[in-house]
Amino acid sequence: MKSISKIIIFSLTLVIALYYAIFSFYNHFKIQPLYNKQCTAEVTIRDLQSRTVTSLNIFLYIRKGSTGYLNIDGQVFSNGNSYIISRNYNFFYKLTNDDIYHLSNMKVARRDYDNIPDDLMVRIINSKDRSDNRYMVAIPFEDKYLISNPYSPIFICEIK
Amino acid sequence: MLYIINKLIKFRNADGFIWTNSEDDGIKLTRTTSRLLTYLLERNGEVVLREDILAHVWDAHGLRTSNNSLNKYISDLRAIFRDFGVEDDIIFTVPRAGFRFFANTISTEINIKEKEKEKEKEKEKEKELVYLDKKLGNNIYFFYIFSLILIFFIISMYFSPRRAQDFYYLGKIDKCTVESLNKEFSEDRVVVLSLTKKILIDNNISCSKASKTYVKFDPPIYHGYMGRVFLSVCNRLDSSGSHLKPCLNIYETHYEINK
Repeated sequence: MKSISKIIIFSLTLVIALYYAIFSFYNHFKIQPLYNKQCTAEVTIRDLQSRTVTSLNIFLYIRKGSTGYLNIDGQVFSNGNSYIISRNYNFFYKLTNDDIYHLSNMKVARRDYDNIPDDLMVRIINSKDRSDNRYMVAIPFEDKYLISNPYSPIFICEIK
Repeated sequence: MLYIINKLIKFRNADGFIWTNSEDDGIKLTRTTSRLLTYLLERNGEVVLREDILAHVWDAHGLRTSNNSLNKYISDLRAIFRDFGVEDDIIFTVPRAGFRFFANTISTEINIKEKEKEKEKEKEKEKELVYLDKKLGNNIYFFYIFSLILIFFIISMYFSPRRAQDFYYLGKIDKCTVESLNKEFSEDRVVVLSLTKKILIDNNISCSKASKTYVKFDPPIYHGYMGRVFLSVCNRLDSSGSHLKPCLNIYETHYEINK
């Protein structure tokens, strides 16, 4: 009896372990990081306290390896003034656990008509840290990715 | 011990019984005669000195005897062998020395009782071996299973599953499905749905049947405090109704209900 119950317990554990292994293996390859995917979104960022509304078109592209590209185009209305954002960022990244991307060496390339003051831009992206180190979280679901900063989701992008 | 002499006569020294075909036609030797015969059988073909016989068969057992008495015992043995059909002399007298027992063949067998005991012991050993084999077999089986489980867990750890974002169904606004990143309590659901509807109307966003709205409200907002709001309308179709438009996202900081 003891032996039979042992066999049953071991067999069940084996089945569970096998299931979990297959599940992990399958998910590992099915749910991929945001590599080589064109992530586009329309985003409105509103902060009524500073009376700022920002409308952006975002294009994010993470190359498999260590570099990425972010393009931002849009308008900012702040305290009765209107500004244009049109710039792109090239950056290095390191993917850590839990889909957190540590972005570094962010090099901004502003287009001529990008006239938003730096202070306002910093406020919009809600960063108290003025260094070029940032964290981004990109969690997949369906055919989309939820892009967040460390505090809150910012946008969902569909993959083209 | 059972001695078989010249493949004919059987002698069991344990009880001194000697016979040929069956035990029914046998006779029982006295203890001393039995010891004497055993002593001679053990030294088949050798010349055994009288002194040695007297010392081992009699003296060693606290008995006293004489050469004449020894001769008598030898003579008795010869008679017994003759009675059992051994025509040739089997015990030879070696003058001035002793005797020499000479049988063509002497084979020995362990007594039946001893045999049975031995068989029982063997059976027990076999049982023990079978039990050990079984135990070892079981252990090997468990070892293999354990190894497999370990391998699977290592695979699981190495290919750790990437999490996918979970959303929780809140309800519908018109025909548009609303899901939340937070697992809302039932009493908060109504608040979240009404806030979502308000934000959609305020921003003039239409959410069709095919679309889906994802929201996340900082819980303090439900209680009249400021917090962050995230809302995203996805699966939006363009005016032709054939192409997907990018998700429309609203991210608001310092949002409060009574603003």
